[in-house]
Amino acid sequence: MALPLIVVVGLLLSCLAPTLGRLLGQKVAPLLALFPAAVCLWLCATVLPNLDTPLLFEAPWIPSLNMSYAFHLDGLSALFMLFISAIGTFIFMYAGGYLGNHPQLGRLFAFLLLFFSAMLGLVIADDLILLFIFWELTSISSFFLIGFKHESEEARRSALQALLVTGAGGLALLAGLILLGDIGGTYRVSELLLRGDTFIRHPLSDAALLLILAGAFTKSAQFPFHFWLPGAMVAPTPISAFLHSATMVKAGIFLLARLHPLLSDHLWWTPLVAGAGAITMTYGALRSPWERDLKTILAYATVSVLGMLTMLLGLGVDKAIPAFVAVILAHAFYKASLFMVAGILDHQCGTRNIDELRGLRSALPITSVAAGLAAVSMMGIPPLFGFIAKEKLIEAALKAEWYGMLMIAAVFVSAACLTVSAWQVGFRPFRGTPKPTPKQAKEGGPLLWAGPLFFAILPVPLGLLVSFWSGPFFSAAVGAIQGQNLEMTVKLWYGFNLALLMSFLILGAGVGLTLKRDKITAYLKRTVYAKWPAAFHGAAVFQFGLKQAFALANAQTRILFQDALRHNLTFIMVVFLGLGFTILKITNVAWPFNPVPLDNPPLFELMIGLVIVAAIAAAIRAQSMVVAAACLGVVGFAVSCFFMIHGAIDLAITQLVIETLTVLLFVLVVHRFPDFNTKESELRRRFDALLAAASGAFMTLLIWKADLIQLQDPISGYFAENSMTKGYGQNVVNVILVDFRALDTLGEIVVLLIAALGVYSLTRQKLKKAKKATEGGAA
Amino acid sequence: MNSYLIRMTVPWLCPFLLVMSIWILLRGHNAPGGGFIGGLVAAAAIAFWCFARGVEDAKRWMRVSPLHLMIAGVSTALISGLMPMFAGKPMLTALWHKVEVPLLGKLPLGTPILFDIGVFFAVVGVTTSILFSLEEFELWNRSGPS
Amino acid sequence: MEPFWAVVVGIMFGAGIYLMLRRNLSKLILGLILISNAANMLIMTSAGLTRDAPPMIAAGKETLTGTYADPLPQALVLTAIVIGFGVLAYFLTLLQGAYKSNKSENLDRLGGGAS
Repeated sequence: MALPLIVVVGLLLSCLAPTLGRLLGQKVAPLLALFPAAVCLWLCATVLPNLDTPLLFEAPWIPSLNMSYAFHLDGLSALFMLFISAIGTFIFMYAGGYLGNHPQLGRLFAFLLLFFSAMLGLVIADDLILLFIFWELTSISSFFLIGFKHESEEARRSALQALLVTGAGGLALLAGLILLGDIGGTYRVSELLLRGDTFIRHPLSDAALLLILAGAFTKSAQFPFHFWLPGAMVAPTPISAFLHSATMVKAGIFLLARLHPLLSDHLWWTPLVAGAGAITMTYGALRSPWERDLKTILAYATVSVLGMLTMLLGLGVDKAIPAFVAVILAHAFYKASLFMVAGILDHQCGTRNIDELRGLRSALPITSVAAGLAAVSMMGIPPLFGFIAKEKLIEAALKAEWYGMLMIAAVFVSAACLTVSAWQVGFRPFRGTPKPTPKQAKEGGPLLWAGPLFFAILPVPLGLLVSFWSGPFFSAAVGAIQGQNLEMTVKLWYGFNLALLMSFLILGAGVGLTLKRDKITAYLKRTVYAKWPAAFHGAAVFQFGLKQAFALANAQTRILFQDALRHNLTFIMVVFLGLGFTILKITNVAWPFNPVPLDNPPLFELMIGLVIVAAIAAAIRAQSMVVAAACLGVVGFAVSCFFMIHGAIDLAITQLVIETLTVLLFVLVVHRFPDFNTKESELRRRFDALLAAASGAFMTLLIWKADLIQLQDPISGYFAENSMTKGYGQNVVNVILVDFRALDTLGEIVVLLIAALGVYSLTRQKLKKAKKATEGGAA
Repeated sequence: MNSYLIRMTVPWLCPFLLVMSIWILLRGHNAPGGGFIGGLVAAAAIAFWCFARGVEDAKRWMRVSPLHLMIAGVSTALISGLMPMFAGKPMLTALWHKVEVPLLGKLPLGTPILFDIGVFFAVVGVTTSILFSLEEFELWNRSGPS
Repeated sequence: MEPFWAVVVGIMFGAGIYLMLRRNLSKLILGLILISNAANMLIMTSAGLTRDAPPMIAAGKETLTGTYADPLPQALVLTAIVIGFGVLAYFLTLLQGAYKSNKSENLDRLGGGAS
């Protein structure tokens, strides 16, 4: 019960946040931070000690589609929930300190809470569709949060870019999840994971895998979809720290981890996942250290780590999964801390350019401690937790069977480059002689520095004490990803081995690169950045494509939608006929006239049909509206006779009454319309006649074909049998309307209601306008 | 339609039509008829009145506004659809109850009948609302400076 | 008789579309009415026609027996007729407004930008 409750409470708080923000101002931040804090404490107190028995919740949602509100909290969910709620707590407070008394603080918290609840829902959802809904909710809240400074065009563009990329991935994901549910025969994740064998053998498993990977890769900014993430840095820093480094971008990783037992045996899994991951990791790491903007450095470092996580999931070796868990925890803490530090520097000094930020140690003492510690964890120096993560990562790479040497090289290069990034963010701004900054730097309130300090200090005890308490936690998380129960421990010190040697080699390389960083940056500026035009950057390509799509849409609209109704109608008809005739495959329609004589010569029917045709001919030739309307009246009554003959008495009566009412309508309105005196060109008339004849022929063929084929047994038999026994009515048509298909009828009377309201408001509006005009004229 | 004869017939004819429309509505479950047809007949009756004696007079005779009528109709249908949910069944499941009615014997009464009544009022409301709106507009057109 | 009615319905559709493609506003309405009638008949005809056998359960019987007209398309068409009326009324109101404000029955001149 607690599981859905958390999500529901979060969504409710999200609705309340704007009001609270208006009433309380900045104080709303610590107040709302109590919610993630409570979730975190609940998790630590009740869930973590009992990880052997996963928490379950299930309530029916749409049973006929096998969908349910199913939640499931296992080791993997607990891992994600833990850092989401822990970081959430401090981010909420930090956002209060960062934005101060921003007039739209409440709105920010509404979206933050929406995101937070959706993210928690995502990691505990046990139903594929439910999972997808939370997935999309995180994308949408991310859109609004990136575009928080909506007055800025760049913010709007980046928000749209992120939404389009993740949204397109989301669509692919939905298709993939539905395929997955279809293949497995259930939408319950926990049940699906047990059916790995059936999945692999199914012919559609390739498609499902590709679609799911498309969703996960766009969300988690894997190469070549990585470009939206640096763009998303226009959001206020609390958002970047929370969504675009610690949590939302890990949703794709989470999905891969969640489905790991099911998908990882697929032939393409390792090449695709480990390959994309390794490329992303190397690319992000190579770009990160040479940037000048603090947040861009961190964004590319995040891209790199996301690639690292993806690679670890893809490697398919036993050592990789513990490394995955360790890296995800270490990264969540140090990156949240560093992002918040970057935000503090921006907020207190007025710039994020690392060339302008020097010697801030004395001005921002607490921040510098936090930054230094977090950077040390990012570099992977013992005894911090980051060291353990790095060592696990190296161990996994050493064991890699798929392009093992390349993997080791990629890890080596990436880790060395990330060391430089850590230096650039964590140490460089605080060292050296102070430089004047746009704002006089001084330490902000505890709301600002509490978060970074906490997450910077946390890896110290975590690293030292990890061997004593983390066994069950790691076992549960790793077990959930691998789909089996296992016992494992994590230790700080494994003795002298190859991994340790490598770790120190990487550190050495990192130090070397750090010393030479300015020369490398200058060299890169001269060569790579100068030679590669902007079009090679993903974002530029994307924006170019977007612009072309808009241009295409405009051109299409100009051609297809001219300002006259009948041009549009002509287009619609031509397309409709073209498609229709193709599908109908006229050649397959058997000649329908069967020579079986009818017992009862249908003279009356023939007469009615001929009356209809004659009346139509007269209507087309008529020169005045009154004559034409009268002809259509004849058609209407003939149709009523048609219904009467064919056993549709209700229809016949309805048609008669409607004919009467239509006559009244005509008396009211149509008589004011002019007679037919518009001239048309002969050519146009001929073309229209041709088009009309083709449409008529198509409809005739359609009916013939429909009459001849029967795809499924008609369901009318059910109505005929049960109308009296279950519906207590002899008039089957009426029983269908009010009982069997009552939902349709309900929809139809709502349509009627809307039509009537439309007429009412249109006439009312005109009457008012006209009255105003006459009054104005009189005065 | 300004004939004296018609104006005098309408007060007799229209109530008769209304009663007939209700009869059509109620017999609909077992014989041709039902909410749609009944509603249309009732609307036609009101439309006659409207044409013979004017919109204002027709509105006075109806007593309720067509807008209220159609909203009440849709709500009735909706409520009849929601009632089964309180009995723990999916929406729009028919609930039937056999009731002893004097003179007529045991009659099955159920939510579909209520639903049909909702349809009836919705159709009456919609149709009369459309006619009244257009007629008022037309009146204004005729009197106003076109 | 379905082939015969199929031809009649085809003619109704063709005529309706021809009328809708005319430049005249009133003819557009006529075409619309014709097409909505034709659509109703299409549903009936393509489900198969049965003569003189309304889907009514005889008194005292439990189920429909023998041949009977398919009740489902009838239920569909019943609501379609009424909705067609509602839509027609809405459409007429729109066109009336367009006619009044443009003072022209020429559909080609009804557009916002061109007029």
